[in-house]
Amino acid sequence: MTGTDRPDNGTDRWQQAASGLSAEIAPERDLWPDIAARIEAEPHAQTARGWSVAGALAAAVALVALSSLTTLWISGRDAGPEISQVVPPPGGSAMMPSAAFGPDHELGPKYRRARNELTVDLESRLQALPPSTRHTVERNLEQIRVALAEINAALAEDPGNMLLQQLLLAAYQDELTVLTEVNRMARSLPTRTEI
Amino acid sequence: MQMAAVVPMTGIDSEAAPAVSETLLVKQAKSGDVAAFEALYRLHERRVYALCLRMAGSRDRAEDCMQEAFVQAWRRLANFEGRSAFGTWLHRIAVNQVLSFHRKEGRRPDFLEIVDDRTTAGEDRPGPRDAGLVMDLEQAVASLPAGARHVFVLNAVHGYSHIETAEMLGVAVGTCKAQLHRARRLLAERLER
Repeated sequence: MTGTDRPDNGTDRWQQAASGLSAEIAPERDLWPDIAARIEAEPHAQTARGWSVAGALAAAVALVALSSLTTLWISGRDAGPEISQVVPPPGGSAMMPSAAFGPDHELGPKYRRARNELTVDLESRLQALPPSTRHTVERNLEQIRVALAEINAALAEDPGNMLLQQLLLAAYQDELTVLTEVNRMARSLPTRTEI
Repeated sequence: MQMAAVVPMTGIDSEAAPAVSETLLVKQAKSGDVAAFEALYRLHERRVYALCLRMAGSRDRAEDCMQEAFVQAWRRLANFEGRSAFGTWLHRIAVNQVLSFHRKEGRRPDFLEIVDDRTTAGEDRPGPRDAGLVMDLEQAVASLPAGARHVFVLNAVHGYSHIETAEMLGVAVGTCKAQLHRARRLLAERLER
């Protein structure tokens, strides 16, 4: 409320008098019970949080499916050994775009170390991959990180949500799986000296 | 976050404190906390009701509009991004409800009912001399044509700028100014004769 262009102060006494009228009038009866009955009867749009949770869930489902497909695809091309699922240690934390786990938890040191080690020289390892494979891996990692950020944001608003915690753990697990595969594939490529 | 975090604010006298507390209440209410929303209601009920009463033209209609406004506010809370004050946002919703009500009813308010309301309620009633002025003014404002009255109430009583008033009412700023001029002229005619 700015009131910057309120008209002609001093020239209209009735308008000035009106500005002195109380801007507050108490209702004669308490209207809250009726309002409460109505809003409690309907599913709250829970909107802000609801959307972010829904978005996070959708993103998580998408990323799990996508990264699993990617992993399978990469493995299939490489005809390497079956990928063993990376089991993140309880907890885990920062490196790339930092690995947070909601506002109240921290990822454990073993997980952090593994993630850090896999991330070191990631760029050079990616460069060693065929362009199409590199593009797919980069796209998947980006999607995983977007999902991680969204789930973390949802978890910040609802720290006790077990489902979100599980999804976040699964997302970190997927990220680690992709990083592990990139690392393994880069190592398995023949080097110049071996040719 | 638990409601305990916002409860102490009800006992705070500082003028700076409510803004912070209101932000917390909005955040809580957004997460579906009805108790936080009730606290917001208690903070704003008098101002919203004053606006509804003067714009809608009767106590019953004002109560309907106010109830609907707060229900709508609850539904739309997620859309409140804090770009304006929460109270301003609420007022916009309330104004929409009044306008919608008038469109549905298609009739003019009964201003005498407002005068009755105003003269029978209120602990902070002005002294005898001012009471006459206030009553005359309330009656004169209530007797204004709806368009002029809406602009006058928002601009002169609640202090919204022409731009804000025009935006709330969905009219051009020029229309808003014209309606205000009309309201002032009609008030002068009715109160000074």
